[in-house]
This record gives sequence, structure tokens and C-alpha cells, in this order.
Amino acid sequence: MTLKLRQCCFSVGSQRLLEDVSATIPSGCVTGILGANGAGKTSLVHLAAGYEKAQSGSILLDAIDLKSWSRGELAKKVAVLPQTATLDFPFSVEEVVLMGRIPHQSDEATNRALVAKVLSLFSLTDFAQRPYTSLSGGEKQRVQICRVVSQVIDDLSHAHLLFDEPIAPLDIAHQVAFFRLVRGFAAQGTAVGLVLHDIELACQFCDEIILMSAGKILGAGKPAAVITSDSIQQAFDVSATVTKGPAGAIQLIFAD
Amino acid sequence: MRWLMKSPVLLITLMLSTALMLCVGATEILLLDLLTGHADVVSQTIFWEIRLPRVLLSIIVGAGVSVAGAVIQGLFRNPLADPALIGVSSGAALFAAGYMVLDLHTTAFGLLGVSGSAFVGGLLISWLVLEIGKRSGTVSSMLLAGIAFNSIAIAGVGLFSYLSSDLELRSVTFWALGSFNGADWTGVSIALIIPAAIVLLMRESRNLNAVTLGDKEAYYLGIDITRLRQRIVVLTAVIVGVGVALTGIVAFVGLVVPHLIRLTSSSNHSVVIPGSALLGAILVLLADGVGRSIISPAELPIGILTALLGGPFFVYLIMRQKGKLGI
Repeated sequence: MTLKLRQCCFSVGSQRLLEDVSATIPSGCVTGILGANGAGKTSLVHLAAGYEKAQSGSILLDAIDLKSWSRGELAKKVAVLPQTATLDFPFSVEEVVLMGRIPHQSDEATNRALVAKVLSLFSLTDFAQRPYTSLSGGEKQRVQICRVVSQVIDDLSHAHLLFDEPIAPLDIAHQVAFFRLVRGFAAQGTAVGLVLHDIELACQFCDEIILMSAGKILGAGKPAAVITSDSIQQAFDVSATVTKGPAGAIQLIFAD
Repeated sequence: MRWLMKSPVLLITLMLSTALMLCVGATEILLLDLLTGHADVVSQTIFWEIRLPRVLLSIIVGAGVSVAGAVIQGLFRNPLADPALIGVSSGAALFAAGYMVLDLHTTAFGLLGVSGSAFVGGLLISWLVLEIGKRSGTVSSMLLAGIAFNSIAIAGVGLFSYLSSDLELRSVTFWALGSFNGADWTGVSIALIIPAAIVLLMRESRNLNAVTLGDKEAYYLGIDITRLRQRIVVLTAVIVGVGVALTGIVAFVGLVVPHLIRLTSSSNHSVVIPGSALLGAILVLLADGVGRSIISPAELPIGILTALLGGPFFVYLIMRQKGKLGI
């Protein structure tokens, strides 16, 4: 249940967005994808999930080339939350989350039961009948996260969840709740990939880190091994001292 | 369809409105007289040859333009999109008017007929609008391009009016204002393609729901966006093209009706499509009834009535949307 990119190159027009990228998002793990704006994180997600096609290299899902997967079968295994979601129609929250069940042929009662389960996981049960358009930005994001999770909720042990900047609109309590839930999914065998900007939270909640810079992989592995003063300087062009807090959590202290 | 079973109000209203509109007109006809064989020959002729086909055509076209509006709004991910607003209806009217004024029935295009020409016009504008949207990548630019094409097509219809003879002018004016005056059984039989297209569009409800989330989101839900767009555009062009060819432009119904369904029931396309079909049929049927009664024995073109009612509602929608549309 692993997503693997092997020596992938990806360009749009004359602009090279990914250069010889090899990366793994393994099952049972939460993998954080970090890097500066424009480093290629979103392109990596789009490539890994088949939305964009690499000009060279290969992508393997469960050791099978992504090209061999039909779009329908892929949607049952890989669920993705893109960076920005806009929805201008007043669907109820339940209806939006039910859209995550589109790839499946299961009956409506089963789908509704699964959606109710996901909504309760994200403390959104009371929101089920509210119009999506009436929600705050953070609430909308939680609904979108629920929609993506509902796509694979019936088979988490064979699922791949990719979230592009999922926590940006969430308050700290919901950010932590989100990390705990995806860690719970990973414990059941799901491969979780998260594009993040908060390095400290990423180091605390992710098992693995992929650090990107200018379309290349700068480092990949355990957070403590990847996040160093040098790698931060290289990836973000800022000076920071990387220390370990009292509970072993990685902390960044930026120079004045 | 499950929604229809749960909420039969619209279905019952449509049946009652149909019964009422079969009786109303310059000549009053009592259905009871017809059923019991007490109606005179004139009433029977008016009923079978004029009123019944007219009522059926207004039901079919009303349902069609409303469903076309609903699916175009879904496809464009914009609640203010509508085949009439983005030039599909005007494109159909332009080609239909061009077919008549330029005497194309005597050329190789003759095989197309007025309906076929209107279909080609609607399809061409839909394709152009989608193609521009694909290149610019924004829904707003698609809408603005549609508005521009609408103006060009309306100008084209105006040009044909200028070029046409007195007899042709009546027909060209008819396309622009919309009327069920010429309804007959031939028209009804051609219009039967509209319910067929509606049934096919209903099968796309789940896909249309997914598209409202965005192209990427729909892709990640396993949907082939390009093929879906092609299917929706062709089916919408069939509905709008045939509708315009038979009755002219029935403005604003396709914009307003889906909103009323979304406001009162759900945004789910498995509700919006059948709901819009029923409500659109009821509104156009009643509007046509009012149009042929209000200044009887003369008739007010239905496009004028629907524009007078729909225009203010459209302004209300824009105010309600505030800054959300980004246009």
C-alpha cells in the first residue's frame, strides 16, 4: 500500500517543476511534505495521484504502474484534498461529504452510515444538514477533509490519503485533532501524505518528512534527520537554530 | 426520482396547471364537455389541433430550458450561468434565423432544417465558451466570453432582421421574443427529443455534483471531466437548439427555476434536474396561459413575460451573491 515516485520529471511549458524526484509515501505512516512556496510540493501530489503526467520516470501504486490503474479504481484507493476548494452551491454538509462516495457502488444507506461515521470523527454531526455555503472557512475545510476521508473510509488499510495544506484554515485545536485522526488512520495501515508549512507541527506529528526545494528532494527520512539548520537554510533561505524541546519536540528559533 | 415520490407537490401542480391551461384561451373549453362528447366541433378542433399541442410544447420546452439552465450552472460551477445568458440560446436563434433568411434550405445545409441549424448554433457557442474557459482556466472568463458571444449573436439576429423580407422579419422577431403560437403536432413530435435528453442528463447527476467541487476534485473522484463536458454540452445544445427552433428564446427561465429548487429543496442534481423540469414546465405553461389571455385575442410573446419576471429576480440573485462570484 505504498505510493512511490521514481526519478520523475515534470514540466509545464518550458518551466521545470519537478527534477528527478524519487519519493515514497509508505503505508502505516504519516509523511509530511515540506518546502518553500513553489518548491514543487503540490506538483508532487498531483503526480502521485495521477492528475498530472510525468514527462519521465514512473509512479507505482502498490507496486503497479499508475498508468495501469483505471480512473475509477484509482479513486477507490487514493483520495486527495487539493489546495483550494470552492463550492458556491448550497449543498448540505452531508451532501458534500456524500460526494466522497461517488467512486463506490455501495447503496445509499451504507453511504449515509459511512458519512455519519466520518462526520462524527470530525465533530461535525450537528452540521450535517447545514448549508455548506453558510459555514466559516475552517468549518468548510473540515467538511472537505471529511469528504476526502469518506472516499476511503471503508478500507483504510489499503487507502492512500493525500492532503495539500489541510490545516491552513484550521484553529490550533482542530489542527491537533486533524493530526490525531490521520495518525489513527495510519495506524490502521493508511498511507498519509500531508503538504504542510508548519515545520514544528510536521516534525511532531509526521513519521517521515520529505523536504523539497526548487523541484528537487532535499532530504527524506525521520524528522530529526531531515530538519536541520542547514536544510532549513537551503530550503527556505532563512537562518534558524533547530533545537529539541523538553518533550523531544523539534523547535525552530529564527535569527532576528 | 425518489425525491419525486417523497415530494409530489410539483407533479400534482403540473397536472392541475395542465388541466387549467387546456381550458383557458380566446375560446373557453370545458374538459368535462370534451370528455362527455358535448363539445361542439369548433371546440374539439381547437382543443386537438391548437391547444393540446401548445400546452404539451410549453411543458416540454419549459422543462427543457430549466434543466439546461440547471446543468449549465453545475458545469460552469456558477449559479449565474444560463444558456440564454452565455449565448447558447442566441447562437441557436442566430443560426435558425440565418437558415431562414439566407434560404439555406435550398443548399446542402437544407438537410439540417431549422432545428438542426439551431442545434449547430447552440453547440458552436457552447464549445467556444468552454474552449476559452479551458485556455484561460477561470470560470469567470468563460462567463464573460459567453456574455460577449451572446451580444454578437443578438447583433447577428438583428442583422438578419435588417436583411429579411417582411414575412421573414416576423419569423426572426419570433426567435428573439419567443412564442408558442405556432405549436402543432409536428413540433411536439420533434420536441420529444428534449425529454430524452433530460433523462440522459439525469444520469449525470452524481457527476455534476462532483464537478461543482472543481475539476481536480472531480478527477480525484474518478470522473473523466473532458468526456463529461462533451456529453453535457451536446445534450444542452440539443435541448436549447430544438427549443429555440420551435418556440424562440424563452429568457430567464433556465436561470431562475434551478435557483428556486435549490432554495426550497436541495442543490443535489438528482433533485435539481427533475425539480427544475417540473417547475420549469409549470412556469412556462402558466406564463404562456397568461400571455395568450392577458390581451386576448392578441398574444404577448412569452419571452417578454419571462424576461419581465426573470430580470428582477436575476438582479436579486446578483445582490444576494455579493462578492462571491469574483466577476
